[in-house]
Amino acid sequence: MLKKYIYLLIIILFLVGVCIWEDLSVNIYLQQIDDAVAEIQALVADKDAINSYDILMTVENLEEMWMKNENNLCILVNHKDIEDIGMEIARLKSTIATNQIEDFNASLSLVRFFTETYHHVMGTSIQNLL
Amino acid sequence: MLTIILRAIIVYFIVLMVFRLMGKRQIGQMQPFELVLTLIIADLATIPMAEMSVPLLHGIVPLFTLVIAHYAITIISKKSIKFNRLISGKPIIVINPNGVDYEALRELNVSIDDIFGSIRTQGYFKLEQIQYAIMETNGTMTVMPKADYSPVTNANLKLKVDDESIPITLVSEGSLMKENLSLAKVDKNFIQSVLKKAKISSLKNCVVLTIDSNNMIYVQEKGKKFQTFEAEKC
Repeated sequence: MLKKYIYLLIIILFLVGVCIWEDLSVNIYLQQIDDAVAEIQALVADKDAINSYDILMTVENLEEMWMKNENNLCILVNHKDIEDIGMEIARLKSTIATNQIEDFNASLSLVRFFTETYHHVMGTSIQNLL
Repeated sequence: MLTIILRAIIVYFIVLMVFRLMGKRQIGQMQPFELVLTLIIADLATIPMAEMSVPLLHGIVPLFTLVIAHYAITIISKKSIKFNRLISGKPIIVINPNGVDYEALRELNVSIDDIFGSIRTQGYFKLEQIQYAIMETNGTMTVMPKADYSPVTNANLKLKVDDESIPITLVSEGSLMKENLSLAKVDKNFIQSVLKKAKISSLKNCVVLTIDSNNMIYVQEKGKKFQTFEAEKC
């Protein structure tokens, strides 16, 4: 009987651990992406062209960061829920190549929108419960 | 595909562990909340097994949460009769000395045919043979026959009969049950002597060997008829 209670205690600790891990890591990873995108938005705000080396490097850094974070996020969240973020980040590079500044800005806004939306989706709220 | 195979193996072992933690009740013996839990577990387990986009944790976390909920309900049910009645219901008498309680049948949503089916499984074919029939909370029917129809027991006949113990299995499908040797207070030499007496060449050829409290041996060799004889313990 005592053994059973020990197993139950382990399960409770596991569940609490997973909840804390999910909350912390999702917040950290998505915040990192949000900050990086905000940085790029500030960088291109006063520029007429985006096909420059420094913007390309910043986007590549963002993509690299996303790929690293996505691997960790996939352990915790449904892959389909976050694939839109990856797709918009990938689109950024093609818009740099063709110097489509409107599309570039639109993709940046979408990345921020998806990260913010996912924060709402994963948080504990009445809407999510019902 | 390898990922699906690995996921299936992991989920299988987790579900196995969950059921082991839940206990060993059969489907027919389950309380309503246990049956609900079993159905949900079966459904939950299949989602992360085949759906690659769903993390394995999305299957494991609800499974473990249900185990905790199950234990919480079990513990509270043991402490509070009211809660137990709320979750599992209460046994209801469907046949009493006056006959079938139709109101009880309506409450349970069972038909007379169901009652007949249940009493037949207990070995009774006529309603007048039944003194009481109780529908238990797990859905099984307990039947108490009228005195005229109840089986005669040794106590009824005032016969003195010694209690018997359960036979202990010493060999099962060629394998020696080492933990049972001390229970039966015998050793390997005893097994060898029994096999020799039964003319079984080796342990591997022995399908089953049991001993009861009266030292009666039941032994069977592969492909041959069983033998019983009294053994002499050293």
